[in-house]
Amino acid sequence: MSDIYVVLVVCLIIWAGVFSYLFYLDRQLKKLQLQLDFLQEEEKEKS
Amino acid sequence: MSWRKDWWKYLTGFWMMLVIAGAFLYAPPAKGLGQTSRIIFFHVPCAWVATLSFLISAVYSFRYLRNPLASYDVWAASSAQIGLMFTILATVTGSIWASKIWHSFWNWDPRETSIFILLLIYAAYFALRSAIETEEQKARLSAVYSLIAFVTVPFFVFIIPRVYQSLHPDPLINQQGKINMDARMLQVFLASLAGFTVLFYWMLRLKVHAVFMKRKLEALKE
Repeated sequence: MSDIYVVLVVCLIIWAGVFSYLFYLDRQLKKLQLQLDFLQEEEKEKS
Repeated sequence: MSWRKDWWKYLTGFWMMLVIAGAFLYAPPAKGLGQTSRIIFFHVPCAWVATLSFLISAVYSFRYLRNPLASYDVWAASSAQIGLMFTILATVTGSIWASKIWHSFWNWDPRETSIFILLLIYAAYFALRSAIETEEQKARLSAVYSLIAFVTVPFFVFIIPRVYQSLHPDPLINQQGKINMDARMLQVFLASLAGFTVLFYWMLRLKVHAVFMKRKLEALKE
């Protein structure tokens, strides 16, 4: 395989890693936001 | 994640894949620089995003000084953080390119020197933030520092490289005010700039969202 294809594949793998990580973070933050909203509601009801 | 709300994130993922493929398979190498010139599709957008994020940091710092809302400080600090990361990426990619063309990773070329000083200036911004404990004082002083730091950005990014003789290839818009680039290279380059800009927006939103949630959690604990 020519060098340029090796560099192309490496760049695509790096991008796949960055994209997956951002996607994962996004999902985790949304889940955490839901839990936080729930906790805040509970706090309001208690008070 | 829902498709309707997050379509632009999927599109960014696909767009950047096309940019990477285009950078290696569609765009021709620049005359005289060979295959190494393909780094322009990643190195310049990194520098562009760094400049944009420092600008956004300065805008939010200005807004904070006019109306001291904690959220403005979060936006300013988050933007500067991402800007510092992209400045490091621009420095590393430039250094890799220099090692192939100039046979040395670092030459203290005007471009290299100016980005190094910029790195130090924004690293000092975070040193300043970590040195102050009171939230309001930290936000106020770092807002003033961010504004002063941004005044230097146009000098280091746009003026110094055009004033001093440098081995660095001409900027995209050269001294005659013209774009001297192959049409296919320009297409991939502009697509890359757009992709990196959206990527920056996504990262900034994530960072700000994470900081806001951390503060909410801390408030709930109290």
